[in-house]
Amino acid sequence: MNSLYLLIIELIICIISIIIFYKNYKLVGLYAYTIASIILSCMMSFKMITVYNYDMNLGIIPLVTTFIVANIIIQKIGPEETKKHLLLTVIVLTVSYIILLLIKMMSASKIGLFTSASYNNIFDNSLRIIFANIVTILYSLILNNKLYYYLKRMKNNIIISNIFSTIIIQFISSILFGIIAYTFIKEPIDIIKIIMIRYLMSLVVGLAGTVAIITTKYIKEQ
Amino acid sequence: MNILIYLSILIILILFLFLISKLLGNLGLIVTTIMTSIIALITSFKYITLTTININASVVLSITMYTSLYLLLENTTKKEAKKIVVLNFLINIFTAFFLFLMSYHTQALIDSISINMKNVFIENYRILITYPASTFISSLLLINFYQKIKKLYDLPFITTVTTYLVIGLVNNLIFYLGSYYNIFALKTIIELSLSTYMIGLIITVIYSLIFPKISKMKVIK
Repeated sequence: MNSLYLLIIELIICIISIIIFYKNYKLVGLYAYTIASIILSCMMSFKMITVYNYDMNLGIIPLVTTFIVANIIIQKIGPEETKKHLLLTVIVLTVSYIILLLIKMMSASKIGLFTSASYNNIFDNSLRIIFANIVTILYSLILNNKLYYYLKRMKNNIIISNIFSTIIIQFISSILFGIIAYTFIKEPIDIIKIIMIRYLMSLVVGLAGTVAIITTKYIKEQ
Repeated sequence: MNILIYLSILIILILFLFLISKLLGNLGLIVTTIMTSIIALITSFKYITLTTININASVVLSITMYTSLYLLLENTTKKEAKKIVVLNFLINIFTAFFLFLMSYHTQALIDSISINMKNVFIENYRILITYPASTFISSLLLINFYQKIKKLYDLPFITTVTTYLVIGLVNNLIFYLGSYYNIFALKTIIELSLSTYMIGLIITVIYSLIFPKISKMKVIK
């Protein structure tokens, strides 16, 4: 199947999941979604796909929807709760990848040797991408929380706050990831292409995420 | 070497459980349940050898998940704990679906990892179905058994170890039969499930020793 269709399916599932988790589990649901999406986004970013002749990392959709979740938390609860969200994101991401890399280091048993060897190969040379992901998520989330809250205070309009914060934050996030993950590995022109397509995809996901923020606005707090 | 690495993973998880319950209380326990469950799903594809025993790499994470559920049961009601188990199941389904989709994407020409993802997540797609199912069933059993055993013997060591004796067996049987029936010989499946079960029992005993300290810990405000 065309990668673009799969990306659209991923986007729809992510947005529906955010709404369902919030509707049924409130803040706990949003935290649970964040944990799954950050672990997945980091792992998915090891893989490259081609969209309209441009190579890009997978995992942008779960990553950007984490920012949507942060915006929902600011919108529904306030900026104080985002500190907890940020702390949780960093701790979970770091501990998860330390464990995954430690398990990768362990020698495989003779049973299921082929699968275990393939499992190890997934994490080969992934350290730099993991580091790029952690730094990008941390830095961009801090900026996003401040910017979204500032825009919310200036003009309490979900669409404006989300669009402006997405345009600025995803630009910074894409540049940061591209530079940390690929400097001295790829040609500068290739890095620019990766940053461009990543930014474009992030914009689409971020803007589509407005639907989730608006929908959760109408779900009553218990 | 494998034993040392596995022990260090166990220490990291114990420290994580201590830290996160101290910082976030019940929310920290929910976070631990979900995080360990997701990593256990990813690592359940790999088999390792500890001295001469072949085990599934995810067992230490599954036991940590059960321990955080025991701790959650100490602090909340049965109804609340059941709600978290359902949430964990939904998150596992979400993760499994995304792992499958990730492997299904057509890779770029420069990509070299994709073939490994296909070998792990598409060739062994049965694990993506059986893992969420076995975890869900064993977690539901855990809630019921833990409460019943606690009424009989209110000692953390006895309650946690006895609960594991039941749920560990159920979990391993569902997981290994569902994932490897007609793929591995029945003898291999039984050997794998028993060895993973035994290692799980040892880790449960270790957790049961620190259990009272974590359950009585106060949250930092």
